[in-house]
Amino acid sequence: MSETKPKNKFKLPTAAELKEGQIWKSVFRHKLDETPRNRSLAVLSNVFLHLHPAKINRDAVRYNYTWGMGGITFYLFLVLTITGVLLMFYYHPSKGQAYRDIMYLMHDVPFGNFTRNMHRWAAHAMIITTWLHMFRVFLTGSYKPPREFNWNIGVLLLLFTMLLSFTGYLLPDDQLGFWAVTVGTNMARATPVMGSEGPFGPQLGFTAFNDVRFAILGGSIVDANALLRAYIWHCVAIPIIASVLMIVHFWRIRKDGAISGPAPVMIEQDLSGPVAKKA
Amino acid sequence: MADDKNPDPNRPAMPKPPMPAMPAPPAAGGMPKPPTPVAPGMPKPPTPAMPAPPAAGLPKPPAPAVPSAAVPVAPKPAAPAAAQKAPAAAAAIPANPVNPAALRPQPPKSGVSAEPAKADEKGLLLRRRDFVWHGVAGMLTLGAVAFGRFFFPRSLFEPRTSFTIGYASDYGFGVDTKFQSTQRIWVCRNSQGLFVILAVCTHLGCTPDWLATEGLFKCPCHGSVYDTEGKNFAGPAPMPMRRCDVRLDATGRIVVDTLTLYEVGRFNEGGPTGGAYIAV
Repeated sequence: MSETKPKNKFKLPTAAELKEGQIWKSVFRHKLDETPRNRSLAVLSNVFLHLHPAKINRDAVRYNYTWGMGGITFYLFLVLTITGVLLMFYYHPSKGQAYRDIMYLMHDVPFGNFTRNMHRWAAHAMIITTWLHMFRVFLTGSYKPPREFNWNIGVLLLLFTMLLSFTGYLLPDDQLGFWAVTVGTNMARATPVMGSEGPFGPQLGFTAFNDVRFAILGGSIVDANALLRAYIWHCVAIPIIASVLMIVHFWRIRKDGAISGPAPVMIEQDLSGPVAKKA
Repeated sequence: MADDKNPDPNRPAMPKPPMPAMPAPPAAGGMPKPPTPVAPGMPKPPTPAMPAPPAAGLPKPPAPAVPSAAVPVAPKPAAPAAAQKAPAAAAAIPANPVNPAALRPQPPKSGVSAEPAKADEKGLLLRRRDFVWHGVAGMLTLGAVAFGRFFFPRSLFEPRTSFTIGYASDYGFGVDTKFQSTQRIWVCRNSQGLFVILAVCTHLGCTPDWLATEGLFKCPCHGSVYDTEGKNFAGPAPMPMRRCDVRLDATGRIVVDTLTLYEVGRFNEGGPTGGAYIAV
């Protein structure tokens, strides 16, 4: 009579059972074997990793070839994205409030000063590593065909990195940033054709109230509109543009022969041009 | 697929329709209106004696999207494109252009079938596709223009560019900075009269500081130095600071206009009624 009514039949699955289960299999499509094939599968079946080649030459990743600068730059971009989003939780992009929010972050918000400093130092570092990455690519001749397209994407990324830095400068709304942006946007007056004080600008009817500087600032002076525009460009528009370019950049690295080493062999018929058209 | 989308195969055939014998070949509607030439099965091809009627009932792609569509449809002998293309094309095809046989040697590239009926269908399809693509391109262009215009607001919330600063008797000799923070100007007075300096460094546009004890304007950004009348003598500033237009209104108050500026060399353009300075 010891066996009475059965107890609850549910019991927690073991780890081994979990790995055999439907949920696990739906997430991980393959085993975790340390086989070459399985390692390739791990890259190919991951949306983030699949931009990279599944396999590369072991020599290609030597640091004295690449300095790791592109990867470090991307890592800093991730740091900046995360710390930047955190800072956005406390920051109001309006005159008067903006500077108070920075003070608030620095002196009261828990880890606020740490987050702000991370953002600031990572920003400085990203400018430096971007230049160093470009310098390395130049030294190793990696701008040459078939990588010339990716070099141009990289030049655009450099431009947007600088623009991120410039637009972020104004956001604390302190004397440093205000006058830096005053100076920087005054240079835009001298833009050829589109600037009110540049070559052909006045002849085409451009004034301080309709030229390219006006479009940047949203007015004729560095004021509330300029602060808001800098904020939107800095936090939304340029990061999106730069992210799209980064996706292309990383993809083309793989397609153009991976991070270092000789260029891939291309079949002439596959290339665009007269040969392709004839076929 | 790529060939289908490419309007090229059709286009060379288009300018050909103009009748060879005609002195003034009607520019039969640039590229986008191929009906007359290419479509042999068209109900009523234009008679040679008449200028081609504007292809009625056929979808017309928006003109601006297609450069050569800008050529007017009217039978103008002077139309540049028609003048260039038509004679050559006319010479090339002496036969009746409506006859599909005459067209056959023309399109060597794929895309236009040799069979008349099929060519018609395909041509229609191409035109329809062109129409859609031109529509898309037009919408994108409009959107881009609107996007650009969006960044130029109509109204501004900025300090007035024209304002009164009181009476001349309110100001003694020297530099008065009471409007620096609100209007970005200094009111100055010397033996010549009263003038207003725009507080913008001529180097890169910062606001210099007025150092009363030294009797100097110094720019904190890059170190330009100006004397009491705004004349530069040290640092990167290329020229003296500009002066605002000053006038007396009916009540004798001084009206400053910060948009009407006098550069060095025009500082003497003033007098009792105003200008670069007011003689008071």
